[in-house]
Amino acid sequence: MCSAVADIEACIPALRLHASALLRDRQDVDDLVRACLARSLEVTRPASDHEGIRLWLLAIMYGQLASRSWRARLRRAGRQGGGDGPDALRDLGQLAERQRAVLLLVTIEDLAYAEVARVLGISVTEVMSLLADSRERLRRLGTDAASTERRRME
Amino acid sequence: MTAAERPISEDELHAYVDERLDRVRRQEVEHYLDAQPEQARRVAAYRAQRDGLRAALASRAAEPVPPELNLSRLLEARLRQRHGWWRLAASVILCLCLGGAAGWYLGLPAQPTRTEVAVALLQQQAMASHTVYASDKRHPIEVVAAEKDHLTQWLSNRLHRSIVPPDLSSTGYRLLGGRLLATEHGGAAALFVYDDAQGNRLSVLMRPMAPELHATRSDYSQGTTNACMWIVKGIGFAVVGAAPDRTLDQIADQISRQVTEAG
Repeated sequence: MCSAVADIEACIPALRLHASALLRDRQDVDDLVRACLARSLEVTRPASDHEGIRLWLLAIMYGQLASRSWRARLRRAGRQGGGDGPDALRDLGQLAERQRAVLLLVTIEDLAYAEVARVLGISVTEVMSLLADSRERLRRLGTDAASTERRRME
Repeated sequence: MTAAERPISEDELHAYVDERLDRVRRQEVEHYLDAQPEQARRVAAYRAQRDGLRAALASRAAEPVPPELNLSRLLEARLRQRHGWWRLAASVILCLCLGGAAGWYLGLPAQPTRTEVAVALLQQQAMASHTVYASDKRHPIEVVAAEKDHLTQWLSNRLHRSIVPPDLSSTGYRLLGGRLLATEHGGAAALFVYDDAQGNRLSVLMRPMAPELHATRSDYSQGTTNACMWIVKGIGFAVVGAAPDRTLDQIADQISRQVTEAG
């Protein structure tokens, strides 16, 4: 029990980092992490090492995000995309939920494709296709932004 | 580069970006990209995306964890909440028996609102009924689904309003039937029991509540049992089962839709 709590605690910074890629508002980020932690205290913990706990918490986080109230907050974060913050994060708001989830789990969490599939409860084939779609979408957004910028300079 | 090389797949280009290929295959992809400038530009753009994302988040990695995310605090709050729940339930019963002063007498730190009390009662009845009735292998219900008209008529008469068992077939749950329940202040409530193809039971509780009460959906879980509750137009609804929250949420959507349609 104690070591599991310590394992969960060790994952909190990573969960906040992940949540801050999804949500603009700092309060939303901490609300999501809190919801995820509270849920983790309610459900049965898997007998697992640190890495397994991290995957489990990420799965809980995405489970929370699937609820209606969180989907609404995510949409709001997507709409506010034009605000401050680095371009890389702003463009994420343009991706579909699943595309963004896969891209972040691969890029930020450095998970293996099979682990991403497990966290999101989808197949590896779906993971690969979502990953390809998300990258292509972001690339096009980047190209479009660059050409708009060029036009403005001319 | 030899002609016998396996063609490079799109998946492998991504695995290359993510550095998931073994050394041999990585070199093969590099050769391929040397010969394909268009693909090489695409892969370079993906790499730049990855680095951009990581860099954008790196600045936030060092931030200290705010105190409200302290796990021991959350654990404490949870224990307090559990403890508080009993005090809440006790105060409700005392209020019913002795009148308004009992809540004050117990000296609750913060007076729960009427809605909170109502949701707590709904949750208590839903969890208890699910445990006792829905899990009963042989006699979970009083009236079987085959006599749906009778079931609807009977429960509607007893609850003094139209009570129709929700159709959850689109979510894979089949109605077994329903039963009448007693509320703690002597009213009648309805319980419908469902099962899925694997025989997993799900229960839906409907109980009349004060007409002005309204509560948005809230979740609760205990062990492997999850519950989802809400109150609309004076009827409290609770869905309880071992299904994941997402499924319960879909079922709740389904019920809300059917109740709205029925007017």
